Amino acid sequence: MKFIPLMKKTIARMETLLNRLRARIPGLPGNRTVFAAVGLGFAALVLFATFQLLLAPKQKFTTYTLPYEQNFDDVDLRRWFVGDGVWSIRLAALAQTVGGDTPSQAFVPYKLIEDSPYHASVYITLKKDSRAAGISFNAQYPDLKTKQHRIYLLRPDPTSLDLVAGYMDATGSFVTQVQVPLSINTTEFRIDLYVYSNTYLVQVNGQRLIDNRPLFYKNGLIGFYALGPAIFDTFKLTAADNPNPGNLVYTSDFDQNPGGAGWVPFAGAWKIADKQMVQTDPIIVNSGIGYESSSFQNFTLRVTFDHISGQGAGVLFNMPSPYDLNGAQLVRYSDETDSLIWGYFDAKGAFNRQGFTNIAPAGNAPHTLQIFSGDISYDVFLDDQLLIRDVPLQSKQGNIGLITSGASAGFSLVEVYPLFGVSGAPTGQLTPVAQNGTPSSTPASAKATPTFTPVSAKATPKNPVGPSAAPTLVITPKSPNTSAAPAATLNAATGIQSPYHGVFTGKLSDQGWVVINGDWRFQNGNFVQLLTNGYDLTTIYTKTSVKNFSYQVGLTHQQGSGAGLLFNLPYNDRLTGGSMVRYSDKRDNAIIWGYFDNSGVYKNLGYAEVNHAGTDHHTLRVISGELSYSIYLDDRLVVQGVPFPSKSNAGYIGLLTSVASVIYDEVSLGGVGAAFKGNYTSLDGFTDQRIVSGKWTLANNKIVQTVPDAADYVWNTGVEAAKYTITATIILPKGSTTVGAGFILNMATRSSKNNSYIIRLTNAGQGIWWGANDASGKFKGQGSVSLPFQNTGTLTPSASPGPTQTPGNSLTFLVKVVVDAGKMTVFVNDNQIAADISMTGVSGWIGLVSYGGPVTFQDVKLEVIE
Amino acid sequence: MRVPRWVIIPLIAFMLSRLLIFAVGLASDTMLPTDPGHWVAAPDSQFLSMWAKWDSQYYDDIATNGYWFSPGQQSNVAFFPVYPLLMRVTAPLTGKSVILAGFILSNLAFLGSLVFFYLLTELELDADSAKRAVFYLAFFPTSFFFNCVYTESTFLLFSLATMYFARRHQWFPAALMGMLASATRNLGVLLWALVMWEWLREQGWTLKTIHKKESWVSLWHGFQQHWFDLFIIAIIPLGLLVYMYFLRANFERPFAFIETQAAWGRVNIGPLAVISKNVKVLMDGVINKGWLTNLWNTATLLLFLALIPFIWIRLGEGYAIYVLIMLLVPAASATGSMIRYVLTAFPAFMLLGWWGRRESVDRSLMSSFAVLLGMFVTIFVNWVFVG
Repeated sequence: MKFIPLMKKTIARMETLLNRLRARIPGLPGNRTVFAAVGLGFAALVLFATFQLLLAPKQKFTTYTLPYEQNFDDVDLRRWFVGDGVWSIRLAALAQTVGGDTPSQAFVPYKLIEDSPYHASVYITLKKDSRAAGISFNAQYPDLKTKQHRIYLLRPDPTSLDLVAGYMDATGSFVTQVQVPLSINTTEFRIDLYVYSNTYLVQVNGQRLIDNRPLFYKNGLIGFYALGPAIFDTFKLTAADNPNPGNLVYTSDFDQNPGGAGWVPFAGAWKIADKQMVQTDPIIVNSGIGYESSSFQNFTLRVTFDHISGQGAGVLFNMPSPYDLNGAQLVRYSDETDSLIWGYFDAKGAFNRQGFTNIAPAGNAPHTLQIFSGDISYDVFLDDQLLIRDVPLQSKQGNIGLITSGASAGFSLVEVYPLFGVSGAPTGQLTPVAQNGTPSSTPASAKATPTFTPVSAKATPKNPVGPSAAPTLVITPKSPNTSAAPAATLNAATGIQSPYHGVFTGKLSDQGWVVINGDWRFQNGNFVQLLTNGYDLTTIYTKTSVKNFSYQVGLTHQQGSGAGLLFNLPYNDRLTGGSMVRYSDKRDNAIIWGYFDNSGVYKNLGYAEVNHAGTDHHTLRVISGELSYSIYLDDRLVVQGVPFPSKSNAGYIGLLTSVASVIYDEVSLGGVGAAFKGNYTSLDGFTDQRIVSGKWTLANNKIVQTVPDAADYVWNTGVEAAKYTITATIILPKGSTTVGAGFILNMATRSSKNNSYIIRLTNAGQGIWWGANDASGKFKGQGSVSLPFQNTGTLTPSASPGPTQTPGNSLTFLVKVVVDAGKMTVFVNDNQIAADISMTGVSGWIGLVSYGGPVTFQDVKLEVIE
Repeated sequence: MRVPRWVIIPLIAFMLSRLLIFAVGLASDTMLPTDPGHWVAAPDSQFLSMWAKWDSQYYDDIATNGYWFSPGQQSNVAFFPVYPLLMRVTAPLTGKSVILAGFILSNLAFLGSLVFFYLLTELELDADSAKRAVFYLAFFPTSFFFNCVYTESTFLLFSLATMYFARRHQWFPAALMGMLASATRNLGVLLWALVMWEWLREQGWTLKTIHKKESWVSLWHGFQQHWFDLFIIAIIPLGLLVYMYFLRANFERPFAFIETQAAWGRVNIGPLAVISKNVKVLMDGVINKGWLTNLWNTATLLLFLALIPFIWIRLGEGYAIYVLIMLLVPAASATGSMIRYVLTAFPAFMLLGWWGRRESVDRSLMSSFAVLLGMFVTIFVNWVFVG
């Protein structure tokens, strides 16, 4: 009863408030009226609460909780989304019991987890009169029947059986993507459906029958489909692993009859002829055709075509609509000059050129145009030659299309691949290009002229010692033939301590190599694997295990594709737990990477498009750190920051091939610094730099961090090393008492300041301090030195470790840090202020750090020794 | 103590009409055969089962199991929540029988409706007209729906109460009743316009005076002094919005109640096209159940449309437009239940009450209504679709 006085008190207060308001708002009604309005609002709330409490559905329409299993022993079908047919639960199974010509479907009233690959499985029993039964998936709520994918067993007559996969098109008609005849003599089937981000595959009774069909609808609901009676039992839904790498998500069917499914012309005269999609009108400008059945994002588009008359063929991509040009990106031959142009159409259809490059006339020869469309930019290749990279995208996703202008052309093949993670930019010769329509005769952009040249694949190792000079560190001996698992904990030497350069003469075993499988031999001073018909043919170097290393191999495919390397193998007799990088065995222009899990099953982590391997020589390098590794192919970064899901960040190294005969002419092991060894004399030289936090602007060999808030902001150079000297002129603003700047060293990962070491100016240059960031990014100081800065504004001479005079309101410091495997010496304005300071970690990524801003770094120089 | 007319007349009309309906219903249900296989609402009660057919299944389902929505299928989200909510809430008082609860609720709501109808008609016309109008409504050929497990009586109660309070310029109860009406039926939201019209009329602004400067000046002064009333009136659509939010929260489809209409074959083609199609069917078709249903529904629509100019003249443009929209919205897709929908177009019955001052009209209406009521009850209780 205490609330009554409280309510009275509250009402009295509100009345007082309203009386005050009434003085300010003329016409405000009496308190009773205002309370009535509030009461009505409250009544509405009560109404909603009552609806929700008493009339809400008992089974909520929500998202699956995986794993999900439905055994049909306790299910309320009235709450399922059932369309046509008679569905019931019989003997703990879902049964559709009526015949006829009307398909029936029943959907589980749960939504799939958005953008998550999944695996659905169900047992299906066909009855005597069954004509079709299967799974409807990715059905779009609420248009479940008209927007869905479907896979089903089709029995057109009692003697034949097919597996059909397809989707509903815009008109609500079913489009068959693939139809596979089945020779399975049974009426009971287990259907397994794997749905990935862009594709799906289907297994029937454990046999994969449909692979990599493009997905047109994403997310949605799953249901059961039947034409005639059928029984469904034990429906399971689980999360799926990533799909196999390097597989197509779309390939054109121009060579089929009928072909051209999904292609809709919007200008010009398009037809299928001679297994090509041909545009026959040689005069019309911007004649286009769009592929309407799917849109793409983060993809590689590869189109092969030839000109029949004139010149002007090309591609459209990221089209907002497949039915017109508006908003689309374009790359095509110019119809006016011998050049390739690229750009985009604006919302009104006006073309804006982003650049062009002069090339040889197209002639009538076939050409392949390849577009790598990423998150913010795209690269263009013509006939496997890089023409331009990092062109900003105006439209970031959409449909693809073909285009001709003032030309007749035939397109024989259109393929789309997914572009996972970081685009593996293939190596290519930069052709002089012009940006924004301004012709240029010099190589474009600073990226094409790095001041740092990575160590060549053919470079002589720093310590070219043979196996006899191999490290004397402790090795846990392993017997290749014993099944007893050796200790999982390794006594691993660091890469710096264990340089190795393979010498391929004599016996394999004498040199420390153990063959697990395959035909591995030393031949003419090279290490070769001769079999072309086996997967993961492996040899392991058993003399040492290593940690924090750079591992490089030189390889040439003799036949097939699939050469690579193994590292961080916990055991020297099996692949279990190890990481692997190699060329794809499906095509030679992809590098894949992943690991072998505890049961020895390979788990892929990603892939990147690269140049075709062919039979050319290539160098493949892995830089393995504490938490992740990076991959370089032919001295170009493919991917970095790949984690170790197997938890194995140290171990043995090896070589491996799949369905390929390969010559390895180099196997070398070094410290992580070896990969970055060299002198960086310009900020432009950090070609792989990255902003970790803050707002950094790089121009004219200066980099400025402008976020003023008091926090650490980090810029990573993209260089990892253990022994080096870094120097920078740091300009701090006057007026702030807290601003600071310096270096962040021994970073465990490129994208975080966690697990790193910081040395920086503090309190507007009044001192310099150093210390470590722990795993959560928390800073713990280890030491500091005051600098002779005078608050009166009188600046000390540059010879002393204080700020020098700079025009304007700023203070300038020249800071140099010399790092040598876990020790550092610090100089300010050429005065040594601290020496041999013990750091946490012995190597890692190097970066700049500012505390607040604006802070300017200029003349940043980095000399990497190891 | 003398019982006031606004109590006694509605009570008599209610009792006489229900007596007729129940008697005819029982006789028909007992004497005439019904096709087997139909849903039996209350297996223990023949009487109750008579008044729970067709759409009653959905209200029973909502009150018992809650809402569900199956895209592309006939789903119970088409039916608004206040009535099944009241069934659910009062069911514990009726031995957990939601059908009995619905039957009692419908009858009580109808009695209340007649009281408010009398009061409102008396306010708009006179006591005699009110008396006649109440009887016309109670004996209208489909007035048996007022005692069925349908929303007719509750919606009519909330509608009449809204308008009665609005006419008395009691905006708070008007808004409360209007909000409940808009959560009882989708067309309940129209009451917002009707109440707004009444507010404008109070400020001296009507369509007749729209060309006069004084009416606009008067409206401006009224707005300055009574703007807060508009705020209260604006709460009326909140009932519909609350239901839409409920649908969004549970099915992610705030307009599910509209989307599911297509499953009943309701496609919006416009009233003229619907009428034209119906007339063509009537001209060409063979006489059967469907033809007859079409006949009485189309005829009802045309008759009530014909009343609208007279409602405009006698009761004002607000009531006329209200009836017009009440008829045209459902008629835009079909006329299948028009003979039931007109029950809640109360201004038409007010007009009939006025016209009934002529004895011949009064007798004609009462006798024809009573006969037709008996016929439709007979049809309905035997599971033949009336509307």
